[in-house]
Amino acid sequence: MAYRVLIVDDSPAMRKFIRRVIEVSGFDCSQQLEASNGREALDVLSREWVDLILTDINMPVMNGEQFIRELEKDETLRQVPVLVVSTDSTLQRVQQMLSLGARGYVTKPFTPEMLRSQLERLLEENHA
Amino acid sequence: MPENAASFPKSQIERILAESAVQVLETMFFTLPAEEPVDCEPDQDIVTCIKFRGNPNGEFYQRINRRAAAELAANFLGQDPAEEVTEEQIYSVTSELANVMAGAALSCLESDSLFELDPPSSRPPEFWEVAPEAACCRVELENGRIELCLYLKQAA
Repeated sequence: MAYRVLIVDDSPAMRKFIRRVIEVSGFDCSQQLEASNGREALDVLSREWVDLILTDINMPVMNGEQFIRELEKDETLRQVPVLVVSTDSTLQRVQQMLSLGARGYVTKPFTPEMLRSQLERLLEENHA
Repeated sequence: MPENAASFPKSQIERILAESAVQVLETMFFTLPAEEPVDCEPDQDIVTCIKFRGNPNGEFYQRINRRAAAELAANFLGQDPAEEVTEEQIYSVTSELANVMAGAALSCLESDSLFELDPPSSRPPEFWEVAPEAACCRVELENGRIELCLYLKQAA
């Protein structure tokens, strides 16, 4: 089964890097959508269904924390697993994002294998 | 009681900076540090600064020569090294490099508290003005070098 993924990050370079990492990791992805902040991501999600969301935390307009709060308010969108991809690996931040509703957390720097294992775990849990 | 990173010995902060830099370069930029300094032609430097708030507040500085920055950008974006990366891509990747470097170092130094990074800002090379108290390290690369400095402000 091929999955549709939404990548939310204000850095075009980081979005391209994540796209490439997903491709080379062998993760079965049919389409990768992109947004540069939480607000844009909500616009995309109003038109498109995705199986998984990867989001940064520090972003202008609407940051990752606000974005996840908005997702949690929506009965449909809250079912989509969210993986936070951030430079911040402090325990407090990880706990904060998981308690808001994120299902996983990957710290930059990460390898393709680390990202793939997280993506597969989230999708398995979501389809269990 | 968590220790404030500003009280860490400068040498410890410099070691953490250097270790974080090597890890970031290897993992996401597919680049190993050079063992010896490499003679490079004079090159333009790209300076990036990130202010952060946490325990304590401070500033992170990164200086990299353009040729090394272009090679890291090509690696990061998965482009053929022969392919010319654009100026916009070089600056975008250099900003992301600083962002990941700063986050990795601060996650070690401020592991018991939350910190917030401001967006990276690029500066002309003449604006490389680092406080003398800042901890700094230098990583040699095949096409140049990268210098990192971290200035942790003492609580008032």
